[in-house]
Amino acid sequence: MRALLSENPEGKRGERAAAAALFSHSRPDPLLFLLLLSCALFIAYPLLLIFWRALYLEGRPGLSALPALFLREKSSLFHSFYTASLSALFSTALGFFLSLRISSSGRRGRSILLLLLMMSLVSPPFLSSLSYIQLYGRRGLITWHLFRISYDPYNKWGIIAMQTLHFSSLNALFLLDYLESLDGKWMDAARDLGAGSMAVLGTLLLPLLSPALLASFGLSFLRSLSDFGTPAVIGGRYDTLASDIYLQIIGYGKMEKAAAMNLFLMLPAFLAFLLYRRAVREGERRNGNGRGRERFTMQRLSLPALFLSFLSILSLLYFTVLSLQYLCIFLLGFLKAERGVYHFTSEYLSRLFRYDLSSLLLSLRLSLAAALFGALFGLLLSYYMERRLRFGKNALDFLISLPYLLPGTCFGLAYIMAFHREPLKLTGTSLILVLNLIFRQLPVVIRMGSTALLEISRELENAARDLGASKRRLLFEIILPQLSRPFRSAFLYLFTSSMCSAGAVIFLIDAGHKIAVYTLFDLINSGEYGTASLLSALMILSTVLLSALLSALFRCFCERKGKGRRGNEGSDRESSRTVHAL
Amino acid sequence: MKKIFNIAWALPLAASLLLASCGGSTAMQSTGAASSSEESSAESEKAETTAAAADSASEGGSLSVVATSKDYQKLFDSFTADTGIKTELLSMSSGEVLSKLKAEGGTPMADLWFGGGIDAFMSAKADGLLEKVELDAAKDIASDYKDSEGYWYTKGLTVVGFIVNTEELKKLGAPEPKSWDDLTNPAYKDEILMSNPAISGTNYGVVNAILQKKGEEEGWKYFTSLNENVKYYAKRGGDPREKTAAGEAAIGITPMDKKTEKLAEEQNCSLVYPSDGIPYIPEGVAVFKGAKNKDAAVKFLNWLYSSDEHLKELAEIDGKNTIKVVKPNIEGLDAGFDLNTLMQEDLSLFGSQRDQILANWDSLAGQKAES
Amino acid sequence: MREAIASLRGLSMRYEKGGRRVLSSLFLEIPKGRILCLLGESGCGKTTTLQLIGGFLRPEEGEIWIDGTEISCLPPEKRPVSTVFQSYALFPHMMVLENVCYGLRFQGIPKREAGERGREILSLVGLSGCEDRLPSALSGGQQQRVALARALAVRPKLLLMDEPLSNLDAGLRVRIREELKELQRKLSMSILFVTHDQEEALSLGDEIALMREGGLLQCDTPEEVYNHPADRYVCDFFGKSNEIRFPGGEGFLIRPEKIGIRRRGNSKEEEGKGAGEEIRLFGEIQSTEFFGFYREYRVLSEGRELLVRSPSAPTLSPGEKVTLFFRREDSAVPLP
Repeated sequence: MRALLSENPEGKRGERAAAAALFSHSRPDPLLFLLLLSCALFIAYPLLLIFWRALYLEGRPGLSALPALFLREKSSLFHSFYTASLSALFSTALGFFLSLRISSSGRRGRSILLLLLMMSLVSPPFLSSLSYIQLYGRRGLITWHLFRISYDPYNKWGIIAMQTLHFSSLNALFLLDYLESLDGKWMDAARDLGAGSMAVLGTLLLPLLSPALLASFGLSFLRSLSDFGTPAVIGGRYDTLASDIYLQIIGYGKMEKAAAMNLFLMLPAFLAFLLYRRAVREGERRNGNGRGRERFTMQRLSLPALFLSFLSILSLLYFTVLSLQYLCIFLLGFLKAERGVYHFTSEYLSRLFRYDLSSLLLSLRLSLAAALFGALFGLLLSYYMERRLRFGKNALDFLISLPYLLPGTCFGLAYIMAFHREPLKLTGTSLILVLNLIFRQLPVVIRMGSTALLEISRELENAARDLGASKRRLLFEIILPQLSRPFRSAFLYLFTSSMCSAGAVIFLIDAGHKIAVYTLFDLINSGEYGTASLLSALMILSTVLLSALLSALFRCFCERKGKGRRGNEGSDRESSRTVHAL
Repeated sequence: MKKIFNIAWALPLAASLLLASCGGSTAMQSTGAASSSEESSAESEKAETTAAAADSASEGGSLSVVATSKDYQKLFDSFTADTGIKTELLSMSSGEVLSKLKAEGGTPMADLWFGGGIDAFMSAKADGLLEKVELDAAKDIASDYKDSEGYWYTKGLTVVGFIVNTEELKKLGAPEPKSWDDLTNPAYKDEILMSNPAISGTNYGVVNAILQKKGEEEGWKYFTSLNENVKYYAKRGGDPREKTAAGEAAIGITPMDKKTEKLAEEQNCSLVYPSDGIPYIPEGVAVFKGAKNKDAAVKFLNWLYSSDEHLKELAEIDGKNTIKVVKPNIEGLDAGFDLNTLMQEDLSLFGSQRDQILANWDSLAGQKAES
Repeated sequence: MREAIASLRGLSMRYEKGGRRVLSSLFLEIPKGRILCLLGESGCGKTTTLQLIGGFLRPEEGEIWIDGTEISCLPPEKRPVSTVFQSYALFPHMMVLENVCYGLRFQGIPKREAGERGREILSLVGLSGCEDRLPSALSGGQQQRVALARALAVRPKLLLMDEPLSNLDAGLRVRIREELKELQRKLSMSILFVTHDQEEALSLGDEIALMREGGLLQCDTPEEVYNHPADRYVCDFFGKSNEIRFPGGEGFLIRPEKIGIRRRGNSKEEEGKGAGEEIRLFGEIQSTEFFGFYREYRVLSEGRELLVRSPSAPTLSPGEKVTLFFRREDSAVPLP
């Protein structure tokens, strides 16, 4: 245990070597080989292609054109950096306050708030920005019709506001989970020594939370950098690198330029990623293994009424704005404005059912497939990485994380470039979509797996081998069943993110495989916001319902097998923790 | 107990394998079935024809199409009714199609390219991405509107004008613009919406046409001053008219068709055909090189151009009758506006100048970055 | 009459409405300058009592008085008590010195002075030189001392200790126990020490309060509690005892070490209870176990099996006939 808690990297490597040594005298595992080959083929190869293209900026290989391009693009890069920093800052702060408020709530209030937050994680792209304009634009329902303010929303503040709104929910869930995994006794000790509750918050809680806050910041920064949808819709003239890349690819057809710009994006992305990783490690190190700990909630601290009211007001505002967004999305599907007057119409509904429902079904099918295979693949891979890989784990980890760092459009483009020719011709199949979806989110799944594996003692494996189990049996009969909880989390995560992910999909679409996100995109492009709203609402509903259904199924299934370990609270916590895991 | 567990794993695995592998074909079949069933529910008379046609057709076959709008589904449904060939429609802007074509290099995403600025078609032809097609009705098509070598044809023209939100203008206290030159009036600062020509083929046509009219130097000077008044360049084609109608901006540079007219009527906006010339851009049709269902695509093109009725159906969907310009001997159609006001354009330059114009555009529009 | 630093009056506590009472009307006086051990098996309410005094729980009924002030309405940070927790609860991201000085800033003590006081206390507990280390770099015993130092630094009127030694191994436990006693004497601290280990209580406490199911059974010096337990339960809590009943009603509860044992000689010895003090019994040894400084014998005497402890020499073997004797007044609890 001490070795796990210490910062000694040699220790970890030594442990892994020891673990791998357990299997050293057997032949190399074909399964491991298969896994590694998949990573090479579906991650390394496409990415290499794209970066190779970046070198061809001037038609012939060379790095000389890069600095000039960088200078030209530097304002976009700066814009990206600026919005990303602010969005990350605001969404982390907001997430922090939300987590405090939720933690201070009684049981019922807490369940409601958590449910709302989790539902808001399912968010089809673009629609949020549209409803932002609908509500707060020049003729916005709120700004104009209510307050008679004529406000032009097409600027960087619109981007920052939307991104903050969107990222806060995940940050709140993550911070809440980390907050409540702290040892309640620390807070007791502080109060015991004379610190009032606000003093505890300032002198103890904040420092203890700092790794989690930094991690939130890093992750939100990353997400903002790769977001092209929001700036495309409400950015107006404010170009960010992500929307620029999108333009280059979709509009100008300049692959080389787009690839080079992706390289530029990699720099801040990589830094943010390092920050994130470091913070998470530090947080885990400090928190130890959480054994013998009492569950901590903010209720224990009895915050002063003034501060509590502040938190309540802030949370109320947040949920109101959030609800307005969703309400707007939903209502847009039924309202039509003629000569400034809104009236109900079922026109959009009929359009939807005539044309676009099949894409939703396809989306659901593909997302389920991606979820199943992705979860399995990811968990297997994480097992092998933790236990069987003798060297190169860090390098592999880095490789796997790359697709997540880059904007989705880039990864989609890479796949087209890699797989449009024999013998690897995958364009035009649903397989390329599923693969892309899986490998983009793979790092998250890997992380879920490693975290869970930490809790499975190596002695378990030793015992099994001791009793005569072969490697294969060990894997399938001992390890995998223990991973049922991370499997469930990974599955649900992959499912929801696949339903809503836009970036790569835009590229990989072809006539035979229109999935819902593309149809959405298309409807928005054609200006059919009403139908788009309905489709979006349907997407949200179906994803949420299906997730709830699957979640219940999993729970039922696991409990029937006599695995009823922790209660509901524990599994909810774990799923929210692992949702943020990367 | 363990065995049950293993089966429990195996079943969903197997199920999903089936799902994913059949995903492609089932999607096609299901959407194909959906489109034919939609059609039969919408027009019951045709239901019998569908069944009859399906029986009488020699082979089923399929055709996948990339078009600029899903509204064309109706036209393709007619085609399916007549020939039994199932169609699959994907809607994408011309810039996007071109980029994807270049990235895919030889394995196109569909068979037929239906609609989109002609500049993209020309560029694609230059890169060898189109298929040469001999059309029966080719002789009826005016020479300007078909590729001399038969790589692309035209299905109509998109003309561009302004949609003006009178209320917003009143607030500004500015007069209604009547011409392109009017647009540089500083009173319209930050009130004009225009689509990015890299994405919107229509707008590219505008840029090219004006450059041709004013000449290079004057043309770019014009756009530089226009740039001052543009709120932002929309990344989506339909944005200018939608947003102008919604009141987010006062003037939108937009294609003029039935949709625009309807929008203007509903939202109290007026439409302006600029007095100093109406830019137009032909909309191309072509077959992708290496298309899987090349024959079906050619069959469609013949089906379309050989029959005035089908062309009129097309015009109906498009909401404009500019097909008359393309195929002058069409009967019973009237262009709807004075063809003489169309700008003089050397269409042959549309394709060749694309890269260069877009590059210049990039540096021009990128200059006004928000602080 | 010793002076009390704190007194609990009628404390009652229930965790849930309608649930069972964790504490029922507890009355306890905590002496000043002494160690009072709160002892009992798990669930008896001893930790709850500690938490009530510390301020982490609110009592249903009752009062808590510390040095003449009733404090049950005060939040933890305002109470003049400090706690050493079972898990130490050291702040993981602060160095040892920072941990120790943490509470001082809330007393308005400037940083420099606080640092000095912190170092002073650390040397008192024998940890000079560890000021700059992080808790994770310390051993269990060292962490325990830091926790103690931290609680002492704020100079509380009453120090609460919640089973602080239970995480340590046996040898360390004994050593720290002794150091704690010495420290307490040096500083004349009032300590309320919670434990479930009776050996610890006997050795450490100046007084022992035995609790059971939310109530106080007996509060006395260790000798009294051991030799004159209030009832059978208390008696059994502190060690084994033999129940000996005679026909005619008289019964005794005798600790194994209070029974003498010798070989039965041939001389005529009378079995039975005389009017005098000594009571004699005859028996036969069933088995014997060696414990180093004493031997344990199981003796069958008139149908009852008795446990006897005796210094190792002379050694008696199973099967031998022996005489057992004890004094009337050595009976722990006179049985009815």
